[in-house]
Amino acid sequence: MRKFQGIPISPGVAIAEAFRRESETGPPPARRIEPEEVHGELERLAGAVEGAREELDAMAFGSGLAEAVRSIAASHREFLSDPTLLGEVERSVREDRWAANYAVALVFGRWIEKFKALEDEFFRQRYVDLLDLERRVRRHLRGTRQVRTPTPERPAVLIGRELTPSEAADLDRRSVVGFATEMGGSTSHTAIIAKSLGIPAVCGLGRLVDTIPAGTILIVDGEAGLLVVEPDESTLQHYRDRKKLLDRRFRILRRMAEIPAETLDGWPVGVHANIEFPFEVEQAVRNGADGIGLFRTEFLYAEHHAVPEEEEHYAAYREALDRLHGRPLVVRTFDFGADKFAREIDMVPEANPNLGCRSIRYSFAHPEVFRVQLRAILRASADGRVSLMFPMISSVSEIRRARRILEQVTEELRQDGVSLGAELPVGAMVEIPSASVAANLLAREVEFFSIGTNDLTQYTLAVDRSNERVASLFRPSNPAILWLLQHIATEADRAGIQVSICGEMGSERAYTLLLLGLGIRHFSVAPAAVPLVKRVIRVVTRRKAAEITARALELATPEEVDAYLEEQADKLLPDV
Amino acid sequence: MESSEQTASVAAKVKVLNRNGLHARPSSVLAETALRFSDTVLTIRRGDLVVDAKSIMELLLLEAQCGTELTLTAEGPQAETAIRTLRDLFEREFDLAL
Repeated sequence: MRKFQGIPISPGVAIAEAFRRESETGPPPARRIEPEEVHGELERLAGAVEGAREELDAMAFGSGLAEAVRSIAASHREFLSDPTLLGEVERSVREDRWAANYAVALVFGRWIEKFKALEDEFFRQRYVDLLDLERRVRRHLRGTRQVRTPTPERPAVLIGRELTPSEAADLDRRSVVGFATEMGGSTSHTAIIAKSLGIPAVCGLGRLVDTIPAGTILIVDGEAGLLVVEPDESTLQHYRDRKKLLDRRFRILRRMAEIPAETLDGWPVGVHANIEFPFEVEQAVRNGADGIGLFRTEFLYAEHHAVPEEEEHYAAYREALDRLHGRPLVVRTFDFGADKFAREIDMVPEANPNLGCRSIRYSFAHPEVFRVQLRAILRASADGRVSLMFPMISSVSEIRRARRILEQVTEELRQDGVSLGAELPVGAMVEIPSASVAANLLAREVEFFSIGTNDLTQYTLAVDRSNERVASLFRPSNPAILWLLQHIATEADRAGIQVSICGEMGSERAYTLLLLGLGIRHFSVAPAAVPLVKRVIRVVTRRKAAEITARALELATPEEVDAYLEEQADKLLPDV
Repeated sequence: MESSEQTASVAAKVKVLNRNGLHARPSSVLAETALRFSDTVLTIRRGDLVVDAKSIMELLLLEAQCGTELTLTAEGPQAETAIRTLRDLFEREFDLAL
């Protein structure tokens, strides 16, 4: 038995035979071209780059792919548009008269060496992205369609020199149950993909492929970053037991997708998902979400430099609704600041964007933009169960003003003969202290509340959680926050309106318990967190949750609250 | 006889405030913004390493972590505006902090 210590990049345990992946195709032959061939070769190059770009676009915006795969494809696509990189390849063809595929290998190879020479691991790992991109462009030059990474016949642990992000994304998970590579780092995109796909993996093991014959029994311990070769009986048993435990946990959570979330005593609770893009609906539904509790719409503005057309908005809402198959969709209007939108060069930057003209304020300042979004949401309401919510509400006046504009737009659409839904419930994001404190007044003006706990905590505790110096002060368990939440829940109940939580707080099991105890019966969390939240809800009775919360509210410090809640969560959920 | 135009050269010191440094996302925002100043040459210097601000790849070579100080230089008709805009991006952490 041999043990190799590498870098853990994706948790989990894999026990299977080794499947060796031989090295990829080497560099192409160094071939010069004739002057009269240059033009044609440059055209071929442009065609291949365009093909690679389209392929990456499809991956970046395609449905059914993990979020990680998508964002990595997007970054590869950006690398591809780098004028320096492309310019050098073109020059290599035009001036040095190298064949296109050799020029690509040459230039990319140079850049890969530059990155490999960097000291900072984080930046150094970009070389794998360049490698991935080089292979993709050369494949397009060859004209071959995307080839799957070779698949073992029996479940196996893949071992090799390295794996590019695309190759990791492409692994057939029925047969490749884990992988271990000689190169690689924890910040590489390959690591991110392995994690998001749930494939146990270890990298940075150094030279070992040559020392492991195909078929050798291997254990990949993704958490410890260990590769065990030809384990002895006791090690094998240890890992078999561990794997059983992990698989059980996974199955429990998996099952949550199929059953409704209700407390132990049968009180139904809604668990919805927060998404940023329409394609995420699929993962949300697969994980058992009852609907979308927060559809962030900023992506419609982020990529463009002009105002997105009404049709683009409408198409996005329709796409989400289509994938929801009748489940509800809550759309939040534009929530960013002027500084993010269109990056207008001439605007004087705000000293304090978080307290500035953003979200609903920005919408009021730019009514033409606001109306376009409202029109699209109203139109979409004819196609499914749509609700609308306004972010960053700090006073009743804002809600009234927003509703007035909504009424005007509704009237315009009616006059144009556009079909609208029978109703469009309107809600407010409660995330600003003033709205929380005056929740009773606000509750009379809307059909529902959605508490944005992240921002509420930031504003109330006066902490910027992205500021490393004070980030540790950001604690939703601060008693002041708990009291505010209780107040909001009470006032919502009094007014007979629904209240839900859409911040991250809802997805941490200790806080889920607490919020349940406050009487919250609607949660909206990241798609991946839906099964866990459902599980938490199912193991506790309403009364028990209320008891826990009452006790937590008696405590004076966030530390005490956290310790108490963790203790309760451990008792109720020992296996999660 | 026309007098030759003086192309202004403007420089400014900036600091990387992003927690993860100038990695792919901020570099991409920076390069994209720099590219809009098509008639102005924009470079960034760290120590004796000078890179083209319009190239994501070159920006990544700076290995600029949180706290790294860089010097922006702009040459061309829009030098002033370019420096102002880019410096502003650094201060706003490329709008990635939210």
